[in-house]
Amino acid sequence: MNNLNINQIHQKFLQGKLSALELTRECLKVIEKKNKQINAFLSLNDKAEEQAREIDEIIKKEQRIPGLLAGIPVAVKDNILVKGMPCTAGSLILKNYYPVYEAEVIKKLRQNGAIILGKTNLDEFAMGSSTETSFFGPTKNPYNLQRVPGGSSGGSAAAVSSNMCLVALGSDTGGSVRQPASFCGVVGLKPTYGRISRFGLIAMASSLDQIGVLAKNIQDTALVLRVIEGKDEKDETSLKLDSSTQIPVRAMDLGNLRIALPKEIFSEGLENKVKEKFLGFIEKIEKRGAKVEKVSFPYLEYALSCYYLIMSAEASSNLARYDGIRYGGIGLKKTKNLEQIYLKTRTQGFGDEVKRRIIMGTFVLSRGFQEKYYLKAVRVRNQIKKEFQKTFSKYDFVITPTSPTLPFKIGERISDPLAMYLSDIYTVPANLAGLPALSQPIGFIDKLPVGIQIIGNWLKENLLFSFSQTLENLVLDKTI
Amino acid sequence: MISEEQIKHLAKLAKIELSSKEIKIFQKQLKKVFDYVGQLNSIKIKDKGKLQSICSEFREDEPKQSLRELRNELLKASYYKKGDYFEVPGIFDEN
Repeated sequence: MNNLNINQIHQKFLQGKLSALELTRECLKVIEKKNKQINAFLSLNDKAEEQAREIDEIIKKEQRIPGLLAGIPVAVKDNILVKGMPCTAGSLILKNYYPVYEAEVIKKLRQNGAIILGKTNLDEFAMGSSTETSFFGPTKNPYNLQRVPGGSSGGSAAAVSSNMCLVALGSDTGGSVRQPASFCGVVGLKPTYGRISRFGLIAMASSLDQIGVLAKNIQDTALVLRVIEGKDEKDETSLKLDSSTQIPVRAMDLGNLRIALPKEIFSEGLENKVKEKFLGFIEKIEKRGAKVEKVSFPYLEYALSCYYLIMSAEASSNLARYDGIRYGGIGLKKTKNLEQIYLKTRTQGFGDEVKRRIIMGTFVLSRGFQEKYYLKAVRVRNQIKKEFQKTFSKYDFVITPTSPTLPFKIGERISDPLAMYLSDIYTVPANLAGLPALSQPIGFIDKLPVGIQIIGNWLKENLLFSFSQTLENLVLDKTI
Repeated sequence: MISEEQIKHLAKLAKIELSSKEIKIFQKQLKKVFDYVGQLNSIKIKDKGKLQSICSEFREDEPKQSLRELRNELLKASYYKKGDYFEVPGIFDEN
């Protein structure tokens, strides 16, 4: 069952060989067995089995699959609002928060019959690259419990990787879907900015945040995107999708492809073993006829700086809403004035990384430094966008390793924020430019998964999937 | 570069209290981060560019669902309420 894709599972549903209830129970069984160790899930949906039964009844009665994700257990990162379940964002400040409305993506999942299995662990407010900053304890990498699963969607990646669910939703502001996907050996997609409504996603940096998909294969990733994408009037940055975005996904001939490989990725920081594995894979692609060319992106080396300035500025402003009065709070006894509620709630309710980023963002936006830092970062961001535009006029895809290193040890980087930030160095450019990007597994080094990142042109996710499907076949050694 | 005094002031603006030990740690960590991002100062960009709007389209400003239906749920989420309202202590000290 763990090797089947969603379409194959639906076939089994129709043939009566498997039911949604059995599948859901199987996932719950794995969660019960492994979650104590891995800590992927923060809460479970107690209606999951009931919802699976309802789907089974429809299938039995009508001999059809009621929805693209009917009966499929889905995990949801705990910064996406699901009605009837707590939404903590991995923070003490939202420990008791129950949302009053539901995220648009969840509404769409439900309309397509998906079973919301539970909510997954994350770095506090999605700020981190290791899922260690969660108030509820770190998530462990299923391949090696001493190592991090990546972050911030580490819970979702670990859940998919350890067969606790079929697919999961995450969010990606600077690599938070792709880097954990790479560390846990699964597929992770960050779509074009605006392809998916952010309504009901707890905001970190609004011009960079995008909901993404984690799955075991490209087919499932594409299917989930199809379900949750589209214009939503409740998110004014969401985009109308025309028919050109809906071309079929199928393995392709690599012979006509031109692929750009940014020269700048070979600067310091890229682990040797990762580099060898990556270049070995590039060679395989070239053997199949694709033309891979080293291209210079002069602004790429500034991307991480640019990202941390813009992200912290937006985050400090977005997190100003946590005042202790709305959204739960930490239940302080009566204080002598309003200021004290703000101070005590935020001081006790936020963890260190969140405080650091709020302070950094406050600095970046303060008088005298705004021009020097924030506006400069915005201009660099525009240049990065232009570089990509130029690149995509000549090339079909840009390819990089997803992360410069293998999954690192728990605790190794937590007290050195800059070292932690550097693990996002290849993933942030796609967020700055709003481009779709995907990480997929290409094998293992020392029993730890390695991923490759493919960045596609704006709104060309389906082309990206077709390419990735071809690479997936290549990794699985199928003939192409 | 960023000083302990500045960290203290920024924390105050952000409504966060930091102990003197935390200020010291944050100063060291943030100094390292700002030293790194300071690389941006070395580049000159002719194209000044503008803050681009990321909104694709605005919707009409028409109320659709009354918050009244959600009032109880919203209030349930707060520790500070009285009847149908949020209740918070005064802005100034009560004496």
